[in-house]
Amino acid sequence: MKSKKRGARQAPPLMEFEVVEITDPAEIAALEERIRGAEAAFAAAAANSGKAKSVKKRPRNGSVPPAA
Amino acid sequence: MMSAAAVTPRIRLMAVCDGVRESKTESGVYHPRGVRHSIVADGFPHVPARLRLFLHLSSPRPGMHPGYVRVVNDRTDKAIFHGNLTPTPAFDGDHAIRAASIGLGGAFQEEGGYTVQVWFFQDQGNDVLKGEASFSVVSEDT
Repeated sequence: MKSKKRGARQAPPLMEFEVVEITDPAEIAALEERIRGAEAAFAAAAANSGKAKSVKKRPRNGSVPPAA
Repeated sequence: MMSAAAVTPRIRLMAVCDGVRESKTESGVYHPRGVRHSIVADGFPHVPARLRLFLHLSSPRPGMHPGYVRVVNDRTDKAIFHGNLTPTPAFDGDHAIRAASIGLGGAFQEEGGYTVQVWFFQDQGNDVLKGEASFSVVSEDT
């Protein structure tokens, strides 16, 4: 039977997810450890990004640095 | 300059709601119901009867993207709920954007702010946080 829905070929159906709760304390601890690792890596990347910006702002050869 | 394509799906839209219905007449149209930034609790611990997350995910790459959801109490910074996305989000390469509805669980122990986070695993490297939505739980008495 032909679908009467407009644009039926353009979009796939809604993805329905059920979240399966993690109740095992060891599994939760492992997940939290992964999250801490990800947050630490993100913080380090942000800090490096800040350093890169300050390097960019350094006076180029021949330019005069501002007076202290 | 072209930006690099993300390895994990991007979250284009994220809303905490009571439910989502797909349009019966038009493809690619969805009707979220009860989009909320707060939940009124009649007592604690409070387990909402219905709580879902509505997402628009995009990925230019076909493949499976396993992920998980976390609900964090903003005051304590502790998660009150962890859950894996089941089934694993999948993109076929033909449809770069997909709408998703995710059932949330968890018992809210107190009033206050909470944040729903959506994380994806990566084959290489750390897990990535791709979306956050904040909402508050308030007591009926206040």
